[in-house]
Amino acid sequence: MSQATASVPWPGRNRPSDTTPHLEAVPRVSRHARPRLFYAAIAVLTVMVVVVTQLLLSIGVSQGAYRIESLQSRKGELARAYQAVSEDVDALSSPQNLAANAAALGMVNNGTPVYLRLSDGKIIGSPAPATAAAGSTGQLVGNALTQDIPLVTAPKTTKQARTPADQGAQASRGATGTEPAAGAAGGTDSGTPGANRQKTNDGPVPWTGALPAPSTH
Amino acid sequence: MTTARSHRRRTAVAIAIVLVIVAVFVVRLVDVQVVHANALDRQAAERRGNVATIEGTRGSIVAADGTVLARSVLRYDFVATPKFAKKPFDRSVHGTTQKVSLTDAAEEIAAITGQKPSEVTDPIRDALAKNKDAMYAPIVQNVDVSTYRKLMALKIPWLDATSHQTRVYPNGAVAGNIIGFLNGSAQPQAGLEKGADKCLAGHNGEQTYQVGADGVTIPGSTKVQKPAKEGGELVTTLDPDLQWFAQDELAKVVPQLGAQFGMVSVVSVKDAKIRVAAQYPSPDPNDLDATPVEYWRAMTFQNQYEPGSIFKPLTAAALIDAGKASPTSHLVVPDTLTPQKGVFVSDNESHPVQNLTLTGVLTESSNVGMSELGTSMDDDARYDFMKRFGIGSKTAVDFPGELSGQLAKPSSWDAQTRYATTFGQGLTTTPAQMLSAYQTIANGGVKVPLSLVEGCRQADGTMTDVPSKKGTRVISTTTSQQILGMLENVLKGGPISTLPNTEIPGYLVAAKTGTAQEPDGYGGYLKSYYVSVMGVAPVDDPQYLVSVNIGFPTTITSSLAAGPLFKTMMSQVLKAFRVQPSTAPPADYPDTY
Repeated sequence: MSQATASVPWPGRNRPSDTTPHLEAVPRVSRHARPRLFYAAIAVLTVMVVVVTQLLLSIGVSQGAYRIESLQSRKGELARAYQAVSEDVDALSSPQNLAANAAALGMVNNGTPVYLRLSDGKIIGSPAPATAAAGSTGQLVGNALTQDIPLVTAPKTTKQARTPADQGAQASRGATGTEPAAGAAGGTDSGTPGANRQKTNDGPVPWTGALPAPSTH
Repeated sequence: MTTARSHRRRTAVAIAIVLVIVAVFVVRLVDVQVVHANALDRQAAERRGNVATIEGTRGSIVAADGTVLARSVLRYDFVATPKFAKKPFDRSVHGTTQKVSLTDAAEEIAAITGQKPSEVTDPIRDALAKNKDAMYAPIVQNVDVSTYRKLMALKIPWLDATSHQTRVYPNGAVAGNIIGFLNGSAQPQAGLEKGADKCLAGHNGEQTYQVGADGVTIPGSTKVQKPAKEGGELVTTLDPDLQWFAQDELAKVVPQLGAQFGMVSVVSVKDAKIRVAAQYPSPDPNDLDATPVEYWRAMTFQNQYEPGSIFKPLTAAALIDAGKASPTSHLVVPDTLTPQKGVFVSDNESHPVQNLTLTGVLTESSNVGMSELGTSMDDDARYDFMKRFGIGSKTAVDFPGELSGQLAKPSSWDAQTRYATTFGQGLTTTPAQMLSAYQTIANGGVKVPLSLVEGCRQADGTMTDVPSKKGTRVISTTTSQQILGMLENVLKGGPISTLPNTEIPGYLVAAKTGTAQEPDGYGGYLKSYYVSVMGVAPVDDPQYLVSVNIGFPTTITSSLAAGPLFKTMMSQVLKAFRVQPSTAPPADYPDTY
């Protein structure tokens, strides 16, 4: 920069030129040379396209946010459903509950096993029928979680008619619950077909099929 | 020329100043955007209130077969906003809109939670009475997920819930003594919960986010500041079905015998894994108050008793291994012994002088015979054997609060203790120590560290903290086989054989009974006994070790009290683990000569 400034000649030091100045007529400016409308239109259009694309993209992104929100609340609901049923399964499959039900169905444990040795066909032990006295009621080892579970032999109580509120229960709900997310209600809730309406049914499910065949060892 | 130079200098100064300012800004920019970016982000998020905890769940405790013994679940606390509860709200059901008043809503809530409607409305009315704009009134605490879902389905706008983790024990009192429990603020207090807390504990993470006006998180604004770490899954060696069976049997037998407590343990011989560590009474960690506090602990590890005659095989093993005796060593055994002043040893029952072999001494459980032979060995050498069997030091399980028993050095033994230690009095052991000692005898003389956990299964499936299985030899294989052979006679000809059907058909069972006297705390001994039967089957290929201890029975006071339960338990173990019946002939050592 300082170099450039220094090279500009001072007016006082201007020496007269040795050559004769060359003069020429300035060409006339054409009236037709002004910018054409076409290019302006292209420029404006480009800007508009950029703006609209950006708008669409950001709409897309925030639409995605609502979808994520909706899916996350659905995931939360499914996790809760999983926890509820796995808690039930854990309690139902506890030894206390199984033994109590087995005893209620009249099953007894035979404390004197008898073995058949395949190599020589010898019977080891003397077979004796199991007695009910040898069996367990399954109630001796405490479990606060299973004591309210009815036995399979208990008479079934008819389920009460469902309340209107129950019928309104829907699987997909806001994560914190009280209000479904406003955006989620706006149609992005597509991942929730009507089939996902939850059925409220407590207590053990009675076994209805045939008893599974035991696997012999 | 001077003007040109000053002009240049001015320019240079101006540029330098500009550069310095730019540099300062760059430094500050880097500082804000890079160096302190996280801290500032956090501060900003904190000010906006948008910091969320990512909960690290505490890991489950599972049995060897995967049965869940303890797990963390979410429970919900419901809170009302009284300010908004005053006015009825609109609820649309199938396209029609209904007005729902506080009373209606309270009835719906109460029907689900099992409360009275007034229990719902009272906190709200009380809060409103204090402040008409009250924002907080607790409605119901600790409800489970299905109740939560039902309450949420009511769509009551003024009702909200917060969740917290809590611990449930699906199998209740099954292994409740071993699993332990947490206190109200989720701190582990006892058992594996405490001992394996390092494995189980989850660590909370943190994330920040920004929300728009409609409550939806702004895309791309969620930032995990610290990822949560889920707790590992503690895999125990326990067999829950067998543990239940043992506890169920104890619950029948102990009250029948008028005893204070009972314990049943099962250990697999080859790998020293504890498959059952049952006790009665046993706490249900879901409902601790149902059990007296002294039984909240794992008695197998946390109670110590003078073991009594079940200790005799250890002395016999030391004698045989040191070459001081053989299974057929001859002894002349009177019913009492007064070898020196201040020493008195007597057998359980008075009997004429008997000619017993060492086998016979074990079968008849003669204190006199064991004292005669045991003291023939150098005290220090015998003490050394006891130490190597694990007496006097904690087992490898290192259970929280585990006791180490009391075994004094021979130098501090008085004359009576010198004799008494040969037959398991004058020293104390935990049931776990006796299990470890019997495991050593049954496992060909190699002591494998006793274990209660398989390891800690991390989220990626790898097993960490796997206990060592490196065995150490304590006695020779021959000694081990001889001891087991000698103990075969106990169920056939010992005092316990007066019971019908003590033998298990098809299996050679080595067992030893014990009827130990326990100090009453006043320098004497209690009137009732601590009775035990410990045994191994099958002798020709030892697989399982079963121990039964009954504390102070009153209806039957001898080891006969523990006999039937031992047989029931051993039969169930052999059946449950499908152990092959014995094929080898019995050792048949003579008891007398």
